[in-house]
Amino acid sequence: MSLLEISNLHADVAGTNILKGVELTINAGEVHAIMGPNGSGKSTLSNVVAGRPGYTVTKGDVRLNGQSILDMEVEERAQAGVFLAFQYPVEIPGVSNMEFLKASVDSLAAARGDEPLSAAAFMKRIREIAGELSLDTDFLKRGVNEGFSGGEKKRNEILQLLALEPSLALLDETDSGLDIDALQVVSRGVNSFLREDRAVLMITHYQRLLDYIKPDFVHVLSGGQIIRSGDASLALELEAKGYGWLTQ
Amino acid sequence: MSEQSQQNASGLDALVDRDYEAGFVTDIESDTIPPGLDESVVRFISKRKEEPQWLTEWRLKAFAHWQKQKPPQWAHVQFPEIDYQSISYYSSPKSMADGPKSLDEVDPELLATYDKLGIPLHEQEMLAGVINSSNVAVDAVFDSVSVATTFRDRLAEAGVIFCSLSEAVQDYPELVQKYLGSVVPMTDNYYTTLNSAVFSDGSFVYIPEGVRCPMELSTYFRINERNTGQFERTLIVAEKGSYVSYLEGCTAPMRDENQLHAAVVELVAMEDAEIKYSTVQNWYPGDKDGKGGIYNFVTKRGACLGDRSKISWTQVETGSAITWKYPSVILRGNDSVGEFYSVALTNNRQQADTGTKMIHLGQNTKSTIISKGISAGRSENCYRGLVRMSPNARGARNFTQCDSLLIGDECGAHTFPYIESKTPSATVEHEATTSKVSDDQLFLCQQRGIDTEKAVAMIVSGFCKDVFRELPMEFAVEAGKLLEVSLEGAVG
Amino acid sequence: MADAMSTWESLPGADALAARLDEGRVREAWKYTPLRRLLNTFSSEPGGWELAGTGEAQLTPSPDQTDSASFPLGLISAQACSPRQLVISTSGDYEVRTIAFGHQQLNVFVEAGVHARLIERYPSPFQSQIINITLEAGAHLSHERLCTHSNSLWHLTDVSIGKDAHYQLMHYALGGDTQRFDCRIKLAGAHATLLFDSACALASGRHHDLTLEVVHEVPDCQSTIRAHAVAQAKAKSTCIGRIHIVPDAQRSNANLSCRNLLLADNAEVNAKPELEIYADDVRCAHGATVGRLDEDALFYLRSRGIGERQARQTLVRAFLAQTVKGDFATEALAAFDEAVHDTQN
Repeated sequence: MSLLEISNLHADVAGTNILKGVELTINAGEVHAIMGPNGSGKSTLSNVVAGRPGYTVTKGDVRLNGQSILDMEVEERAQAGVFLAFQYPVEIPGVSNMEFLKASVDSLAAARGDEPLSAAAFMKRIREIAGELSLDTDFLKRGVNEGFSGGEKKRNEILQLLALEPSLALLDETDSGLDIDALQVVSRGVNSFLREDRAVLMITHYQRLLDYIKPDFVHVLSGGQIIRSGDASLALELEAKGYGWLTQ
Repeated sequence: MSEQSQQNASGLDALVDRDYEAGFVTDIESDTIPPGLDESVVRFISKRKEEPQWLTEWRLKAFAHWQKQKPPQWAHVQFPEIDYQSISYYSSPKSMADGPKSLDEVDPELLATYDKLGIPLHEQEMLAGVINSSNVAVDAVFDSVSVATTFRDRLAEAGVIFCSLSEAVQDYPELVQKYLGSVVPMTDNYYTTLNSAVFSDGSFVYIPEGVRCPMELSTYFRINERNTGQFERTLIVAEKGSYVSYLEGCTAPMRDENQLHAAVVELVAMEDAEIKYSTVQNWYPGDKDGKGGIYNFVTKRGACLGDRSKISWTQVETGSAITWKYPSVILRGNDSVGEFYSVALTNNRQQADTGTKMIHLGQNTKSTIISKGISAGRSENCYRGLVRMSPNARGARNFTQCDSLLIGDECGAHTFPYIESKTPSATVEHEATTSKVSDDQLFLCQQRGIDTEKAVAMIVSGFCKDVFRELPMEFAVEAGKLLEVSLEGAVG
Repeated sequence: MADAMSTWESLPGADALAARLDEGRVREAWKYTPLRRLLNTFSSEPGGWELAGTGEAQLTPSPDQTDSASFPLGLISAQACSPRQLVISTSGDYEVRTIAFGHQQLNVFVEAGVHARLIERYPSPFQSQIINITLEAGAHLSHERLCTHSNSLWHLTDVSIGKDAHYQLMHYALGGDTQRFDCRIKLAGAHATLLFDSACALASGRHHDLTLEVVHEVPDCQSTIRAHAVAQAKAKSTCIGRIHIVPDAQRSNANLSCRNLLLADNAEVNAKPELEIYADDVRCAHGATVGRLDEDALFYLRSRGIGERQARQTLVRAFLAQTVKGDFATEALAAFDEAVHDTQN
């Protein structure tokens, strides 16, 4: 059974049909990258999987571990193991990172029927992760994404990824706006997340991310459909030739 | 407290079908005079309390003036005219008639009431840690009278006087006479005049020179009797170099009719003294359709008389059908400091018109106003504030931040600040914003596995953080929970 | 100037006005400007207009009795004159000039899609003036005025902005004995926009009150208001600005900024920025500051060899210039320099 199966997925945003029959299967242990020209529906795909309000599925199905998730609430999908690293992380003034993470970790634990992690164990765990991502602990006391630089926001997404330990990570342009050092830190975080029972779907414009996180599969999304799939070499080819030769 | 806090701890499950938790009625015999107000009622109250003649006359003078006064009309609230003749102006639990000498003599039914509210009055229990902190002395006011003041001995050792105002009138008449009405003039407004005529009880605090009050002082007010009004008066005097932190909590039973609460609070801070006054106001707000609830028409004012004195008001207002309240500071001493931190949450049909006045008279005086208004349901929430820089307030500064958060599209959020400056070296900065709980914020929380109701409570409490951190620890926790329960049903 | 023949009490509408003088709402709206003192300067003279500019139109008698009753002074002002009408159906510049002292009213209609400029000039002072403006769908109007007369006066700008229409008001004034400018601007059609800039410099003893109400009546409108004022000794500057978002006016975007400098002791500034909001999906903010010139900036200029007097003047000018533009810019800034020139301390 595959971790994620997307079949004949059609979706609308504000009355406009964006996804027009996407087919994609992701198995545990795999890394997939989706590339494609602007406006091709890449971010829509990740938002639809996460269940963002305003994205309407008109046809097709999305299954996680064989179960359709389309009727599930946003938080139920999260509790089932779907994690979306936001392209534009949202600010929540006054709610500290630590408080937010604790609420999130506790909710996920409750959904699994686990005891909540003790405050001390939680703090220790988060501090470790923050250390790996070169975020100083002061960062954890600040409001969620409040006044963060672009790079800090993206690292914060990875911090959450590592703290929440989902089975499927959707990374929506996590590399955009990062300098080379930050890109390395973020990539290291994603690589440390990877395990046999987990998978990553990266949405990106740039080959350079794929230098740090090696994809098993590269897909080109254009006009709301996946028009070409291949291995890592496809990304290099796209880098050299652009998308034009595929869409003509 | 234990039972209640467990209930709170179970969190949102308890919210789903939650009613106003403090809404029970205590069944005890009470002495309540018939509704109506005339000179004889004023005399009755004064006589009942065995007051000195000056105070009886003071009350009568106020009553005479009140009859000529009109209720204020400028607030952004609407309610039918109050029939002042249908209210009873004095109610006291019967067993108190002879006055309890100690807690052992207090009606057990009454003590049980306060236990239900989470305010144990037994000192030994408090010491045993039933309440979070053993460092809170409590004065409990039930309808018109103070029923118990705890930890009096320990406070007396430090020279602190903490007792009911009625007792203070008997025991410290010169102090009461000197300061009563000195900050809020007897006839300041319609409600203060009424209060001056019929005030029943309240708390009195006196901190002598140089004393740092060894514990938090706290008063819990509760209206129990039907058709009674509550007209308490609190007076706090902090002498040179002293410090006190005072907490006030309020609850009332659920009743279909509206009940009037018209209190007066006066604070006096001498040179280098500091008074921190915190309120968690949770009077019964009425039901979903606006039936019943307390009219909370309160005048609170502090005078920073001495140089470098400081008065800080922190309020969390979640209750009452109507709140009309402007805790203010008169900054007379040079370098004195006034602060106002407020969270006002309205839901269903509640109306709040609340804010502050900062009157800068002295040089280099400084004031800070942080107001967070949250409107939900079909409520109206209004900040109204005045910052005045008088010609002598050289170098004075004010900073004001007023933020409104709207939840739903049937409520109102309003900001009416008045800024008046007559001195070029004073600086006033005012900012106001309006926002809602955004769909993006909700989506982020949900995507991280947090359900909607919890997410809203978290976002709202984040919005209020600047105010919550000004509250003493015991109250900060309570305030957070109050917000959560008050928002119940606000998000569909 | 015409003789003050009679007091306001003999004017038509005076009884209705007198009945309202003690209303709580009226007193609140006139908290910082003495209404009776202003009224007592009123005579019965009808004023007069003439029209200039490049635009093609005529001033004609107005058939409309517009509703000015929500402004107490409208009760007598509108009765004391015969309203004129200006229908703008072609793009261009329109200049209205006062030609006689008194009360006057002008009803302006900007037809759909027309882009025009309306310039108010005051060769003659006036007592009261009501300008009603209706912008039809897609119309653009840039409205400019500079008032340098120092007599007591009342002025009302009452505007309704239609769908996709844009209205820009530039209000520059020097204040006077008792001067009150009311503005009521309604954003009445979707995607209507308002841009309002005001600057005001009060010489010693002058009085100026700008009271503004912006009503977002429908969704998706935008308003930006900036009012800057400086006051010399014994001058009194007031700015009241209310943003009112009615229920269902979702996605409203409104911002009001009110900044004031007191230039001398005994100057007085009152500011009352207000928000009245009945819709949740809105972005509304206001800010107000009252203070004096930035001492650091002053020091910076002086450390570069600029004399204190000039440094102050430069900073005051820069402060006011932030909201000054349009045809009157040069003239207004020069008048402002003059106004604050005297007793700089």
